Amino acid sequence: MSPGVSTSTDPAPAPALDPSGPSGLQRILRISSSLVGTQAATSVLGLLFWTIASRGFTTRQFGVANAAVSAMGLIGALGTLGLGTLLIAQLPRTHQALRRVTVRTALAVAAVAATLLAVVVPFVAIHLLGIGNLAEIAGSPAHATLFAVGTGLAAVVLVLDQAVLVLGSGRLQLERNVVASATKVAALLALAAVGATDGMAIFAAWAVGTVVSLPLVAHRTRGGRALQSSRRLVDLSALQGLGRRALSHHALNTTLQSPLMLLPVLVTATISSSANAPFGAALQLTGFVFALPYALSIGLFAAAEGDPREVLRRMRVTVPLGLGVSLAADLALLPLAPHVLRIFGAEYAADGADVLRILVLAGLPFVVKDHFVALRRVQGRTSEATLVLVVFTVAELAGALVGASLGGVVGLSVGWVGVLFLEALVLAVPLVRAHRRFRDGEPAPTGRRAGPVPVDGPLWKDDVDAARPTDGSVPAARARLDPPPASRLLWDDDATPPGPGRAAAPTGERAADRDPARVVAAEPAPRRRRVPLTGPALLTMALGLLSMAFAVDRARTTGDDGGATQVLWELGLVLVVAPAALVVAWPRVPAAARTTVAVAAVVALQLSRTVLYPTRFMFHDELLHANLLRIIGDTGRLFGENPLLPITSYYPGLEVVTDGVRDLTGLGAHTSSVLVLLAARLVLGLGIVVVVARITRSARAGAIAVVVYACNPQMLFFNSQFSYQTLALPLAVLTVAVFLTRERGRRRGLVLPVLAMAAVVVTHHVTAALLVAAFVGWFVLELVLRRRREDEAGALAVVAGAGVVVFAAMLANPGNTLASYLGSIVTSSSSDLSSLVEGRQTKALFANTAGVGPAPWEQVLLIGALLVTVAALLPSLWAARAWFRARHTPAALLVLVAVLYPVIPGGHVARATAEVGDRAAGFVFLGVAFVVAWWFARHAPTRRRAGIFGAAATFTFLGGVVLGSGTVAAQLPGPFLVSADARSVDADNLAAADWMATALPADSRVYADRVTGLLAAADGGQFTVRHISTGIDASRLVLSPDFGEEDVRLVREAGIRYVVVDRRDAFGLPNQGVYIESGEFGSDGRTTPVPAAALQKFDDVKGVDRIYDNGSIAVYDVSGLDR
Amino acid sequence: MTSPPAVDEAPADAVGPGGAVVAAVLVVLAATAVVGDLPVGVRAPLTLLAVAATAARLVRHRGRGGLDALLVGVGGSLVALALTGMVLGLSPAGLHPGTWAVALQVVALVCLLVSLVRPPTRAVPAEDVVDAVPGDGRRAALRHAPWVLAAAAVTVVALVVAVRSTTAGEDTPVQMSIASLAGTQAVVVVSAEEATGALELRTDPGDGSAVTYPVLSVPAGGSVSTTVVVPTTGRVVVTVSNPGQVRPLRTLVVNR
Repeated sequence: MSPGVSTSTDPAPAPALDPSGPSGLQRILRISSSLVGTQAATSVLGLLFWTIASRGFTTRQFGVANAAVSAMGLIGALGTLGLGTLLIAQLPRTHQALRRVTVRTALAVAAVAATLLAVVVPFVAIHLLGIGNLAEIAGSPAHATLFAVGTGLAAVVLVLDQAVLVLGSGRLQLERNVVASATKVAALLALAAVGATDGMAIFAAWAVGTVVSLPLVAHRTRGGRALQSSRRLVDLSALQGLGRRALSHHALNTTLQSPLMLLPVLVTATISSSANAPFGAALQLTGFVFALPYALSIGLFAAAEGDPREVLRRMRVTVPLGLGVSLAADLALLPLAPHVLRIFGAEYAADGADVLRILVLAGLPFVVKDHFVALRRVQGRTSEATLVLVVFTVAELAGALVGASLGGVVGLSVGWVGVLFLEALVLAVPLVRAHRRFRDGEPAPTGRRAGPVPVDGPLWKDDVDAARPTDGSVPAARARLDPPPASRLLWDDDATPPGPGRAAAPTGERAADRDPARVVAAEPAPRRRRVPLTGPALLTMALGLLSMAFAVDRARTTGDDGGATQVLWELGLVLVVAPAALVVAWPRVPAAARTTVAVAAVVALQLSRTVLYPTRFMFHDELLHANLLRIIGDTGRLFGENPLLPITSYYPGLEVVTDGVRDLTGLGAHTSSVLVLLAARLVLGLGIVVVVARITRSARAGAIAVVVYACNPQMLFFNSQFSYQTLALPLAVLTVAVFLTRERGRRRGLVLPVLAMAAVVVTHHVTAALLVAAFVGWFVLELVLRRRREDEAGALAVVAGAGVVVFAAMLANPGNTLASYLGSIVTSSSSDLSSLVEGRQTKALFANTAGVGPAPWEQVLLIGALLVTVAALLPSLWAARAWFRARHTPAALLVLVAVLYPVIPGGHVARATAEVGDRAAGFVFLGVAFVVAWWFARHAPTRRRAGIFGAAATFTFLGGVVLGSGTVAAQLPGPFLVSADARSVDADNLAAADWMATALPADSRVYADRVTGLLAAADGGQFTVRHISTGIDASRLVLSPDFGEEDVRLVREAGIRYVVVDRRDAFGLPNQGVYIESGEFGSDGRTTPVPAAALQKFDDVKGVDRIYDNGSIAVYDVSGLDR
Repeated sequence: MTSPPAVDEAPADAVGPGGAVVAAVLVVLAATAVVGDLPVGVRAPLTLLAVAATAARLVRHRGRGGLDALLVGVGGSLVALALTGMVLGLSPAGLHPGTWAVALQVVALVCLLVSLVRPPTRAVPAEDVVDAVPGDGRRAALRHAPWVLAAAAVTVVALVVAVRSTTAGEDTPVQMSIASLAGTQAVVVVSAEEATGALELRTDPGDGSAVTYPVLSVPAGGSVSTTVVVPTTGRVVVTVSNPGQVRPLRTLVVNR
């Protein structure tokens, strides 16, 4: 790859070879020198062009022009659609009479595509994403038109330069480029002379040069006109059937070119146009340095004539030679950098010297990268190379972005080059391995050869990619579509081995009736080498977390929770989920890879919570559980009162585990909770794989089930926060998994399931009740469907019974308010439903109580996600009847759970039922994941199906996030919002809580609004009075503007010592529906914010002192009212 | 194709005692570190290693392969913590670092001893075995190591970016409070994260007898205490403002 060059950067083919000619190495050097000569000529003229631009225009306009030309190059390259490289391969096979119309058609298609892209991309970037720095390139109609035309022309010449190598000669390509470059220089001089000062005037000169060079090609190739049979200007049938091949070339070429094209755009967009001037100049100069190493690799590719061994043989010379040249250039430019940059001007030398010194280091990793690409092209493994390089391209750009945010242009250069070095380390591994195999005499692997392939160490024996036998031979079964042996066909929990004379396994639909697991599709025998997907997928997920980190940083530092911030956030989510969704469904992927990637995705989603809020608990439920954790830590005792939600005290499993981690490791409360939640998420992912794979006997179905489960609307938010259900749900899945995989026939096999059940019961009431109910239901199904197999039914009874006993023991704990707690939920849900039926809508379908709702695109995602889920569920539930016919009890239970899916979206018609529906999502989706994964795994894996599944799962996940977590803007941090949970936790609230912790007596009774009250307890160590714990509704203290006897009575009755007021509550309606709690003063029919007078009324009350003020929060000592 | 082992045979790779000894040593070391209140840099890694070694030793007895081992190892650790903690919390010992360390040490050592004494799980039917071929697994791990390291590095960078963004945005406001109030004197404390410059402290009972105190200046991250005079009855407003500004920066009220 040769950076800094504005001409064609596609791998140019070598000139025709003389079979009786010089040796292989001499051929490589001849080809390389030819390419270098072309490069040198155009680079010198290009350098001259930019030097004139730097002298005749301001640095800012230089930066604009440089970014515009780079964008033109990138979009133009995208617009070629791979047609240039395709023509090189296709034209020699095309009849002479049809060549010219084929070329004209390809040019026309490229021109149209590039022009369209050049219109759409800048429009989206400037007007939708708000990247204002790019407005100078295409912000006005005139500039936008110029940019579009110039980009269309760029695409045309990119294709033309490659086509003329077949129609004409390599010399014609050189001539065209020289004419174009010379004309650009002349045009630029002319524009500068007439006083043009616009950066886009420089761009216009570039376009003029391109236009002028086209007639030259037409003239020089006029001899072919007589041979053409078609007079049509364009004939699309000439390109018919070539789309896939073109796209394959296109993908690799685009991937290789895009980082260098995008870097100047990144500098302009994230830093400034002025900063791009020295950067662009330095990048131009690196083109000279990288020319030879790049040419060496291209020469290597061309001279190899399709034989990978030739590449591997010559690499011993070309790699050291390339590295040596690059190193020499690096050493030379260390002292010379400022002097070389002086060509552009003194300010370029001053600002760009360090940048040039850093950028030129990229030559070293480029040597490795270019050789990797050359090897993969010769091996015909371009798809694999594209996949790997796409991931690294994203990594390079991410590294550049990180560097830019940390250190400006220099930081961007360091970040990009740093990632390149990491990339070289990774890409060197396959080069070294291939070379070692070549050296040891093994045949070089290619993408075209079929046959057995090594195994990556699978986890499941019944996957087609079975383990290598211990004698080291490669099982022949791998090359054939053998069904699993009969002894493994039936899932026989009695472990009775099949005896002689046992009837052969039936096939077809009746087989599915008897054992639906039988019809899980085996993968076709591998026809070509498997694409290593695990590593790139994991790196992509990590890049997704990085993108989310950027979004969070941008939201916090700029206060902007829209536009580019949302794009970064959504991109991050896509990068986490999409690779897993693709890999689990992709054909010829080892079981270990599927499982690893699927589980890694859900763990990464859990980590995204830490990225969002890395240092403390932020959400409502997190804070009330954090308060319980504090109480347990302070007292060392269980069942102490948690006034924020008393029921949590009686199910302290989460806090106990976190307290244990904290006390044993010495880590802080939040860090300990992060570790616990990550472990819980790992258990959840693994547990789903084990359960589904155990039932379906397909690791692929298990991995797919994890991805489907991730589409559960509460995956990202509710089931990720520090709340008891977050631990209980994974433990529940663990209970089922260890029950299914227990040692049968021995009582000790039940120890682990019973203990796991007990852990669930002490952690969360509803999860425990549902788990016990599930085991009871399973027991009933076992009796009804499986003809009363006593062993299994007995084991179920033991586990269910243990759950009931422990549940009853917890319920019998004095003070356990579970009955009233659940009763209140039922009451409020019923009330809301009644209101809905009577026409008194309690919840806007797409808005919260502050009137904030999802944007139109989010509504599309949300509704689309529901539709996709239903579309997947309907056929899978229909097919899942087979599990009942097969009398498979655990599967039947999961199918019944899946049938409950409508509860989730249906609950959103009313506020109280919305909460119930959301909390049910975590359970119901276990069933949904099972049925959909099993149904999908019944179909043979193909790339097309994998692509559809990947897209559908990613889309559904994003829509589910909107349903469960709210709008993207609400998910992100940002400026304070009234009663908006995490968006209401800010420096003012935290400062007040910290002050309370040090200045007020511990566990003093305070009264405050929703968020301030949570912080006062969790951080401030106080006892926040709430109706749910005291039975006293003291909300008028803060919400009523009038002070009277009722207020005094409330203070005395509740024993309130301090009242904490957040004056900002008067700024708006509460985003969470209430300022304090459900049923509060003034909540009925509220349409205006709480009056400011209500928040200031204690200022004039005798006996009340305002003892704390931080501008937003005031604390009143009301103990005087108690006298 | 290999045939499944006979039902009563022990697995070929029977679990040896070495792992149990190592795990036991780590458990004792970790417990000691906790009881001795050693720095978190020592306690945390030792504790996590001890948990991992004990879990790895115990799950090998199940003989169901890597996936099951990981699930049961991690899940079992969570279960053990939850139930042990419940027992501790219900007992007079309570939940403290020392009691945690002792209790889990006992549980771990007992389980390790049982694993030494009792035979491993009876041979599992072939369809229950999750296959893990060590040689291939190690090779695959080496092949993926660069990617995993790169992913880990990127994740760390993401967390660093996230943490830096939180510290950048959290500017603690200027705070004013009454530290003590007795008789006619009140101690007023003004604190700030960033240096405030000159501030005027005033008390105003509303009857025209406002008192202005010497200008104070709060250093960055510091606080300044000033004793002010307040009436024994009646209302007085205590304010701090920027010099020359009418609107107060912060306001306290004493209303007796």
